[in-house]
Amino acid sequence: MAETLLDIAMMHSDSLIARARDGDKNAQGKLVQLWYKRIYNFSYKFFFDHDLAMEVSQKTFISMHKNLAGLQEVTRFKSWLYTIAINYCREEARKKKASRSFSLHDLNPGEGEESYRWEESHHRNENPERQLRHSELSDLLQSCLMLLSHEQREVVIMKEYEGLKFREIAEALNISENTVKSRMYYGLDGLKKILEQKKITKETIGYEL
Amino acid sequence: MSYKPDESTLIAYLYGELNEKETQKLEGYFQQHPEELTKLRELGEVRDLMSHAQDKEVIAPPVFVDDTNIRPLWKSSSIRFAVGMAASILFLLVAGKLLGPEINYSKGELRISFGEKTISRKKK
Repeated sequence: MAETLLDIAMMHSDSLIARARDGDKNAQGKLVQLWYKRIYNFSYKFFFDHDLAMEVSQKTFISMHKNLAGLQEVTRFKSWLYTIAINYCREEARKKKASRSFSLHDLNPGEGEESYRWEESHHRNENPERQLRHSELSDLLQSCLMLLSHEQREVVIMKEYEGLKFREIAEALNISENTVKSRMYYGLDGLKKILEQKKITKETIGYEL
Repeated sequence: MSYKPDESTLIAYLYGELNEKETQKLEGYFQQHPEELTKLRELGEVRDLMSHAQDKEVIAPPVFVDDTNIRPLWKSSSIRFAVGMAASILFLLVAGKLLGPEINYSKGELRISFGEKTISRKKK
């Protein structure tokens, strides 16, 4: 994956984190700008739900703002932030399970002009039809991800989409590196079976795109 | 001695995070068990397929202020202490003014009294 300026900024943000930790409001604002998209997408992939992803993102950054002063090592900021995010994801998942409520959006996400997917499919610089196919494929793969257990899903998302190192995932989830790798193995193996069931292959994806 | 790699070793190899010694050992194992290497390559293909799931675009909120951290001035502890002290002094001053204070210092003794002056009679 090509690195964007934002990715580079995130990798070299130690001094920014230190300033934010010391109470610099401007630095805290910049940290939010740098990490918001990552935390949103992590949460979105966890739930496959825009509203829940927004909820978790906002709670994560409020918590970051409140507790950043207590962060001992700046280098651990990334795993620390994902720890907050995953804790809120689990909390929301518990609430969702307890309430067992669902909206029409859950039944058929993306239908209708008011839907979030409709909004995001209108990127200015890309062929709308092609963008829509990409979006549909994304949703299809996302639905496969949702069939994994929470434990496997969170590890797969952190590694595959968020690019965390196994050590960082272990820190974020407070488990051993070997456990992370084991969950990753069974997560990928589970996805292989799911993709086979849904007949999603390199060839069918090539046809989609 | 039979060697069988565990899942964490296989995953570390898949992500290129296995050390050289372990890598050689594992590749020796794959020569003996090519079906295991095929299985691992299939997991690599799963990664390729799943990489087509795109990020969603989202705009971070421009202003991010934690309301709970905003405290009115009068709620800060130092201001409350200062106001308390000022109120106490004011009370003493008003009470003193109304009751007529008398302050005496004699023979190393400080006396503060309120109210009407009483004249003590000296013993004859």
